[in-house]
Amino acid sequence: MAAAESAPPRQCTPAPDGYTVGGGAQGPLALLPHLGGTDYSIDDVDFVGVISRSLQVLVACKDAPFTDYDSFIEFAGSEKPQIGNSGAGGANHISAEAFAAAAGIGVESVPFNGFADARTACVGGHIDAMVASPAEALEQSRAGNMTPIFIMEDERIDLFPDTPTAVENGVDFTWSSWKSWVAPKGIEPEQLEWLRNAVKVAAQDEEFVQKMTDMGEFVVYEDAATFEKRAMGDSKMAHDAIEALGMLGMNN
Amino acid sequence: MGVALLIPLTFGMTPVMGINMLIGIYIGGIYGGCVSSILLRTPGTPASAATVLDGYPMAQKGEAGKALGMATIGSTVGGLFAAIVLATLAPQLAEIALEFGAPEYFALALFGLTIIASLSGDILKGAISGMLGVLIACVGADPISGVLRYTFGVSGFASGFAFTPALIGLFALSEVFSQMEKHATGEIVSRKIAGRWPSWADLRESRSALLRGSIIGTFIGIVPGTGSGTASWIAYNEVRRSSKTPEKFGTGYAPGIAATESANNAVCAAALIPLLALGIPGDVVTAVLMGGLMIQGLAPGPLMFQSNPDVIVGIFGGTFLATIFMFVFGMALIPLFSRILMIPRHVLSVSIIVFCFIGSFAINLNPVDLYTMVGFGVLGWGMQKFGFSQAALCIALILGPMMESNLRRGLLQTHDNLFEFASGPITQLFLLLTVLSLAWPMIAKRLARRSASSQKRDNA
Repeated sequence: MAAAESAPPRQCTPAPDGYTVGGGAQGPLALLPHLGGTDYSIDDVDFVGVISRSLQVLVACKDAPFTDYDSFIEFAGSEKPQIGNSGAGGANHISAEAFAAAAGIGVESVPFNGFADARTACVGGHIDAMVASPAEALEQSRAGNMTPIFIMEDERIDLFPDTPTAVENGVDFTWSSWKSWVAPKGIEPEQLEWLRNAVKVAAQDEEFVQKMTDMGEFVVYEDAATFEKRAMGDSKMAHDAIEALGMLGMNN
Repeated sequence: MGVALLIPLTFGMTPVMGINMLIGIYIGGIYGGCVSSILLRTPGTPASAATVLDGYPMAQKGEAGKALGMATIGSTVGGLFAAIVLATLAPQLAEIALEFGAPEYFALALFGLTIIASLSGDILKGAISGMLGVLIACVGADPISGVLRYTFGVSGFASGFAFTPALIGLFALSEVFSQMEKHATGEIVSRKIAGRWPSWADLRESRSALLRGSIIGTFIGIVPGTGSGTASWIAYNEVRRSSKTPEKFGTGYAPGIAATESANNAVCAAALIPLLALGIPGDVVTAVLMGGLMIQGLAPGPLMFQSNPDVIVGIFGGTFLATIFMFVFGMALIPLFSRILMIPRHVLSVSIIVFCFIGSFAINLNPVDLYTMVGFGVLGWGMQKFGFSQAALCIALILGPMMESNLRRGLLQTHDNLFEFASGPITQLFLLLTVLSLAWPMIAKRLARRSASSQKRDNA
């Protein structure tokens, strides 16, 4: 009865005719196949290009017993912090667990029915931490309801110049939620090349970038090679986290 | 859904104008749901499902105009009440909403479920309907572990049965089936349309229902993630319980309509309280509204009261205006709405079936929703035929998932410590109310007996 989010499709057998392409998001491509119940995996697609990414920030919630990266790690050494997420097996559940594994700490994930519920619990101080978007983290941290702990990128971002990344603290962990175009594997090379160019031109079109930015998207174009590296990396990290949670193939 | 569709239209508007248009659609949409509930037994939104109980019987008695009039007045009173609360107490009340953690939500849902006991004449059949609803609500992804339950490999069921198609089937399609049966056996019901203003007697009788509905709707609206469906059921039950004539409810009784409609429209304005004061959307529609605000470059939250007071005041004003316009247009259009009932029954039945399919499909464009709708239609028809309460099933569908996920989330957070789980004052308050609500019939009986015996003594 989840009204907030509709489930992604789990069956997908398109023809590699060059006319059939798909909008590929991180969840259905890099996470869902590991949970099972899909008839495809990330190996069934040819990568066309990324058009946008949503950056992620781990934030401490209201009245949390830690306020920055060091005190977070220190707290996690004595007690498992409760980290809220928008749904079991979803992107920010897996990312929190993957970070914990990379940093060698233990966390207790608390699933909610959608992002809004998790945020409510966070602002109310019913959980210790959660993963949020930078825009929201900024607004709520100004109001004193959330405190940014670290950015899940390679480098610090403009919105939070004082908030560290996990990488600079010696933990090899990045995570962002991407939206992309993919094609079924086995498409003609010329057609694939044409599609890649088309996405490159479209994703850098000024009017498109403006419209998407107005609607709150973070438009970044990434070419096929960068995309493939990112997607495969995320898929591997998700696989390990899901396996550690005992959720591997649970819906098969 | 209309709110989401029309967001692009607001891009070119000023923030206050754009957001007020969305709020107007939200308020009008929740109100509009009552029209199809009353006339056709087809709740357009979960919010108006409870209005079916008294609205439809009243329309069947030939008083469709009065039923719609009562619903319009109820919606207006509820909307204005909550708008006043919004404009005066928003930041203070928003703090209460933050006190609700998993145990509090669980206790609230449990309290809500006790409605089933008092709604069903036959307690056993009511319990069976409720249990069935809770079981049906288990279909889909497990809220805590994410495992898919009872989907039988159908990917469309991964997020459970879609809610509105299920309600459309349960109430509307099942009614068409029953009508067809009656038609075949030659039972024809009169379909006069009379007036649009409820009588003074009706209004006087509904006074306390309007007040209770408005207060309950406002309170439930402030608590994020509960919504107008929950509010209208709880209001209906509370008004019925406190009524001197509870047996009149369900037969086309004006206070029944007043309670549900004032509650569900109070939720609209009240749901803006946590959104504006805290940046927390209480339901799907307010989440879309929040998107609309952010597109305008405004981040709802505590700071908005300081940084954009003009916008806040504009939204307060817009909420009042939207409610008043809803009243004017609603009242003016009642004769037009009611004409639906002049259509010959067999033509109407066919059109309702068509609209059931269109309505169910249009929400997610998912063919699985059509099977859901038809399946619930057959189920609802069978339940009606054998005296099981469809309302009980509906309540369980709304509150069951809320109760389950919050119980399990709370136990997860307290490491299965029941005492810690039940330690909060709000939790204990609702648990106490739950016990009282279940024990009320017995208490009422004892009180009645005592007053009867004391009367006897007085007479002797």
